[in-house]
Amino acid sequence: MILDDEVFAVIMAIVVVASIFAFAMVISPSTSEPFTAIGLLNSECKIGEYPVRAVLGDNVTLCIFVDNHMGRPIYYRVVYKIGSSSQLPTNTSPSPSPEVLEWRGVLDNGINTTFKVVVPVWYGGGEATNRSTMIFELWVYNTDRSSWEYTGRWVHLHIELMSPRG
Amino acid sequence: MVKLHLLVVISIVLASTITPIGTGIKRAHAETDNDLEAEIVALVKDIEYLSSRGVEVGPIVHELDQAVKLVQSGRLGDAEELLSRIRRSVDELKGRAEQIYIVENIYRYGLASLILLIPVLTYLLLPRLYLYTWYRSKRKWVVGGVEK
Repeated sequence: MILDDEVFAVIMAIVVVASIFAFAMVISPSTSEPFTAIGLLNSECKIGEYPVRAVLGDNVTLCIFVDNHMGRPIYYRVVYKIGSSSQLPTNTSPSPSPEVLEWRGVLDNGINTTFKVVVPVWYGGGEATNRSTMIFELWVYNTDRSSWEYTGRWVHLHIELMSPRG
Repeated sequence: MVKLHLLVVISIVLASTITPIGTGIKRAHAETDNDLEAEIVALVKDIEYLSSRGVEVGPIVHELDQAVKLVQSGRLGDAEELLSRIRRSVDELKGRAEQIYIVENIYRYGLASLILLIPVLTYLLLPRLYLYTWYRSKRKWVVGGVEK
């Protein structure tokens, strides 16, 4: 036998496994575990070197990164709130702090976006301490329920506040 | 004194006329805002449907994102124009969505069937191909006898 039986069996096993794998990739849905993501970047839209302190009432420049892997296009909004460390959102409920600013957009599946935001800072949570928490929450519009839904994704930054007179 | 009374009356009349116009303008602006928001939401829903049917919606989503940004920046006229354009594109695609979905499915399941055929074809053709290649590589060999 020119082509050895055992060699032929190994080749066939590899071809069968590869074919089944390729078949599953073609048939299965494109997004098996849908998710969205939000990230916080510094003023140059890079990770790290986040501002540590700011003057009360001044603006802080940051960048927001939003990623969509929901398997469909999404209409999202990023909500900015100022609070304290005790008012952070959780993965099921948003922060109780009032909304200060929001940014909206539409993202296709598998696409992400990064944009600059300029936000004011002041005392958060009604407490006149010298620390505040900048909170950015990600909300997505649910077209079936015709309402905005909190995704459970957020980022926050604790910042030390200085009075304008230093 | 009469002149003063006249002035007061004229002021009251002017104020009662201008105020409704002012709030009317504000109300019209708010209504336009709400209308645009409603149109954006409707388009998002349609685009979700198109995406579920396998229609390529990348460029439309990008345009809709730009429209949202225009609304946010207060450029309502530009936003309305862009939204109208997007609506025309979406309506056209909705008419062809089912056809695109069927073609997509034919392509996907056809490709899957071809992939499943590969092991069968390999089993049948690989030995033949190997043998053919082997013979071709050795066709110049001469089989000679050994003299005793």
